[in-house]
Amino acid sequence: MSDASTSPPLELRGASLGSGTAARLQPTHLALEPGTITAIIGPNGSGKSTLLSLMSGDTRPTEGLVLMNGAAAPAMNATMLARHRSLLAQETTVAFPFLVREVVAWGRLAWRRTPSSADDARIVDAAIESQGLAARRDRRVTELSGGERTRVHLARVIAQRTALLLLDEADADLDLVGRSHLDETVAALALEGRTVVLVSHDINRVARLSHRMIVMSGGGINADGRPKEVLTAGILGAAFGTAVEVTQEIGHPVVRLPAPTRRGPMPG
Amino acid sequence: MTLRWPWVTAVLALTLILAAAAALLIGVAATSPEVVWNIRAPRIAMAVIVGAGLAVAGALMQGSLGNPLADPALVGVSGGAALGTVAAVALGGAFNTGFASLAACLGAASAVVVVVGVSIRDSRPEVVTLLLAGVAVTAFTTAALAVLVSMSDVAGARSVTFWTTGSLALATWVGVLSVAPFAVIGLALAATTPRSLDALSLGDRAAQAVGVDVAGVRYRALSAVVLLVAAGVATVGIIAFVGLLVPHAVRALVGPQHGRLLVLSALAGALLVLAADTLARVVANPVEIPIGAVTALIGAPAFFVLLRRTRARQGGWS
Repeated sequence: MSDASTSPPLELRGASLGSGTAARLQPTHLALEPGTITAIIGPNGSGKSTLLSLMSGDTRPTEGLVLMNGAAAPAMNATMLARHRSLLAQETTVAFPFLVREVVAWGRLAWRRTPSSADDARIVDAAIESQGLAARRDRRVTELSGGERTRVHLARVIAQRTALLLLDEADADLDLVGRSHLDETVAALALEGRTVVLVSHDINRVARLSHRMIVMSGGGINADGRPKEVLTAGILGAAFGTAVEVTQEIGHPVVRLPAPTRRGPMPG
Repeated sequence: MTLRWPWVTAVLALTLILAAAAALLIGVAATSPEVVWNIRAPRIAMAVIVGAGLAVAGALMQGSLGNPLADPALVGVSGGAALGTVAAVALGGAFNTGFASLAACLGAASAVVVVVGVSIRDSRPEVVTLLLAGVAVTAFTTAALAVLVSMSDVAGARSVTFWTTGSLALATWVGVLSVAPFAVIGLALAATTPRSLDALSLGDRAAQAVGVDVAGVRYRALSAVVLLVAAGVATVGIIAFVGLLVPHAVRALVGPQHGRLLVLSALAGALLVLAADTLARVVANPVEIPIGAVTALIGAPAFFVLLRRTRARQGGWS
């Protein structure tokens, strides 16, 4: 086993899922550095969620390796995995009416019977406050709006205190303020040295947030690099199968769809 | 607003003791030591064991499948147990024996494998599919049971109605002793699950992400369901809705945490079945109402309310 201090938090070495015509993910190589934010974009069904499920160690690759700090993820049990990576899944409904603080405290489940569990109460409270939920602490999570529920799950993920955080369309239910707050949270986590991977359809927003972008289509990686390197009309047009325009504004690429081909004049 | 659960536990336990004492003294026959010890006492013990088992089984099914509408009888597990028992007797076994109980377990386990297997898609159990699979399994087990009962004379006093609506009238100490070990093992297994079941409310993927061994806890919970349901059904038939009503009432009182939910469901389930059985044997004197009819008359309307609430919470299903 390689030295944990020099191994990246997450590395995929030729990891694939399925094979031949049933391939859901082509063999993939990538390594993520500590303190970086990586955004995965691509059309629906392009394999973003499949890639994320390999990254989370929940799915065993058909071939190749998924390494977390140099250790093979499929060999870890649920608790060991949960001490290394956390996940904000797309599904945010909670089946029973638990309290906000109870849901956030589940983030500490994997740390039971470890020294850090002595700080559980403080860590949970800090996570709740970081998401502006102090007043919702004792509310039932089933009574909250979609945006509030996302913040509860984000607080749970923060309370888990993992080196690697995977956010699967965490912005889907968030309004403009919510997304702004999410971005501040993600940036702060990366500044603490944590590695963040996020899947999103909000390309322009995550382009300004992330250090690295991965463009997927057809179960494989089309492009992988800095936002300004991968956000080109050619790469995005090929991945999404539609014409896009990319302009530069103060050093940032901005992606736009062309205006509808047939549109009447503005009334009045 | 939730109540302090230690108080609720104390009140329920006390009520259960009082109800058991009252049930010993109430009845159609004159109260004699013989009647109390050989007829009423085993019946009360059976009601307590079966009621606790059914209610805990319901809470375990709901928690392990994230499905507020799950109940052992509604999803076909009780039907599988009844069919297993009758098949064992048709093959030459006897009621109230280990053989009959094991056959009941086999039947219940088969039903669990079928309905849960069908309802889990993309590693997520679907609420409605589970119930629909339960409808199909129940239809099959009821029909097969009717065939077996009408073709063989070994069923004795246990008619199709006995199996489908349940009765504690035939409870004996031998029967109690044949059920008790299964109930004890089932409850012990259930006691290993609460923390994991709490986090399983997140859904399979997120629960796994916080460190829950999803497959492991689901296996333990559903094995407990099989043990708790099967031995009871093998001796008293199918009593529906206890596993649905009791956990929901308990959640409304003390919240959804599974630790207290399982303890209080056991007490409240025992109390409900004991009360329903006492009612069933005295209210229409001299005939007995089937206990499963009593629980269904309360349970079916409650199920309707839960159905509407669950659908609203999940944003509808199509």
